[in-house]
Amino acid sequence: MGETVAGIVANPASGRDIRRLVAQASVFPTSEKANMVQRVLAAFAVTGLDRALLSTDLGGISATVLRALGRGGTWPKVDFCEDDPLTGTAADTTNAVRRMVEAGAGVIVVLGGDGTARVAAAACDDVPLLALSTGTNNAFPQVREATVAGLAAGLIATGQIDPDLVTHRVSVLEVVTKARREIALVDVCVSLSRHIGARALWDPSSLTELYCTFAEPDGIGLSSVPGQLCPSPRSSPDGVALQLGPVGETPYVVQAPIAPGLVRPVGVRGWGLLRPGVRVELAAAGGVIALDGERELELKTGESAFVELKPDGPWVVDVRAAMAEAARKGLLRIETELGKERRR
Amino acid sequence: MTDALRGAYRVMRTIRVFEERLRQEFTTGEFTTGELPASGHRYAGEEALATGVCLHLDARDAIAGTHRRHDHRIAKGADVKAVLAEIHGRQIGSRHPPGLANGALGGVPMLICGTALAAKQQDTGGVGVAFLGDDAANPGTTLEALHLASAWHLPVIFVAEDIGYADRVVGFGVPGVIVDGADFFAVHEVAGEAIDRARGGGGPTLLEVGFTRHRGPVGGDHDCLQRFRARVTGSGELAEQVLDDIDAEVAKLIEESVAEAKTAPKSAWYDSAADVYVSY
Repeated sequence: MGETVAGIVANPASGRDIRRLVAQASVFPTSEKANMVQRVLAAFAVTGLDRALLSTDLGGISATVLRALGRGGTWPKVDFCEDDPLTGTAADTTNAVRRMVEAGAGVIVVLGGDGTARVAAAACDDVPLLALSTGTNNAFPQVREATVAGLAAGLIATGQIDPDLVTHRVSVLEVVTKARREIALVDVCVSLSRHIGARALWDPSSLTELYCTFAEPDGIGLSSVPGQLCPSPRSSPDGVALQLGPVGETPYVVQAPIAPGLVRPVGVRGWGLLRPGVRVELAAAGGVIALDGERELELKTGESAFVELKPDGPWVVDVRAAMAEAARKGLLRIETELGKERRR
Repeated sequence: MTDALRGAYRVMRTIRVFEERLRQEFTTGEFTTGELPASGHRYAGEEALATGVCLHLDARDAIAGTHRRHDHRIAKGADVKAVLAEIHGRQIGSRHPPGLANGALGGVPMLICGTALAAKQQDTGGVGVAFLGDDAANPGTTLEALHLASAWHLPVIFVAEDIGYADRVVGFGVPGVIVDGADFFAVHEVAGEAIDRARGGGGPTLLEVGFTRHRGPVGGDHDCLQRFRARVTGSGELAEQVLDDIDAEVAKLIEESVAEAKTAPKSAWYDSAADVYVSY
């Protein structure tokens, strides 16, 4: 095996949207994001990873890591993705992930919320993602200690653990309009509102259709609506489709935690399975399509849009399985002379 | 809704043309008076911010800006002719309050806390909005103001054009929200929530907006006016012709304002000591 590489993308803007005003969503400080990157790097070093490739940002995360790098430490070689100009938009995440794929990264660790993971997933090809939660709605990224995640990622990137054993491919929802093709990792929703506005979706009253790759009863975000009506595990190849409507006009109303601090009644007209490979036309003309809880696509009057559940989404790391495999193979275990003596 | 969209576009367009005309005056020395008592710092490209915030404000509210203040005043509804005349050191109509501005950038947040405290004590429901740019967020007075606003639960909205401030206010218990300052709809929605929250006793908010300041013509995706145009025509809410008509109206207004400003009587009140001292 040649040089072993892993990437770390940290979104400086995650956890900063309007939900800090309309709900009690918490702010995830930049300093903690920088700390998490450093904890991942420290774990990488233990796994023997040769090189870590980091995203850059204007929010202070990469600057903090760079300062820490100057102080010395037991880290792998650290390089920054500096070739693309920073835009302060999602394009920065896309560019960084592409650079990491080109550099031969074995795993990419993503620090952000559902929105960041979605952007990374669209650019990572077959490189496994390990998404850690630093955002607002976190249906997709895992709430995990970065040190353990760094160990799992490092062991996979260095080839000590077979990725086939500890990663799996997730389904995505692909949305196609005349001009754009986008994916969502968790949910696609149609809203009657005319403009993207502040992006984050926090008012359910204007929603008409909802499609989810999975629906867990203890989920947060829009997928919590089917999570309470028609749960569908992440392991299922099928998704769910719901028709929504104003509360008072629908046979079902779900009190759903659509965002941190926001439990709202959502009217449901009906639901059904969403089979992979079936193309559904969205009645979204003149409205907005939200992807993973963020209003993303404005549709012109008369413009059509389609959604399809596709089984060939990104590969994602199962941290628990990876660490269990590490234990089985004894990768983090050393038998000392004292141990050998006792065994004799 | 279309009336509101037309109104928002008219305000943004007025700020843009006002700026461009003023720049022309500065660069060509077209002023017949040979005098320019007030300065006109550039604001082009940031019209969506001033408009998206100020459309939520009314007579109860106060704004304070940096030296780029003329545009915030137009957005809040000041008479364009009076503002232009004031820049010329002349007067049209009754005296217009010059608004709060502070060349020492760190002064703005403290001034706006004063207005917000007054609104709170008098129970007017008014809010204060401080526009902070050009590193105004870095002086210690800004931190004092944030602390004060948080401790006294003042109805203040700090609008910081400096990157990274949404993070720094965490320690003060003030929510920090990042918004694309060149997107009218994003600014309008976030500012509306922040201002409603302040009016309802919810305390201060900090909005962090990022910009590239334009020195030449503004264009491309960063141009908030072009973005607004594309979106409202794309959605079918407003026709191109309606927006073109507004452009023509605004161009006429600015040309008339310049002509009137040049011939208006010198301001009796233009005095560097005005609004600085009061008698007790």
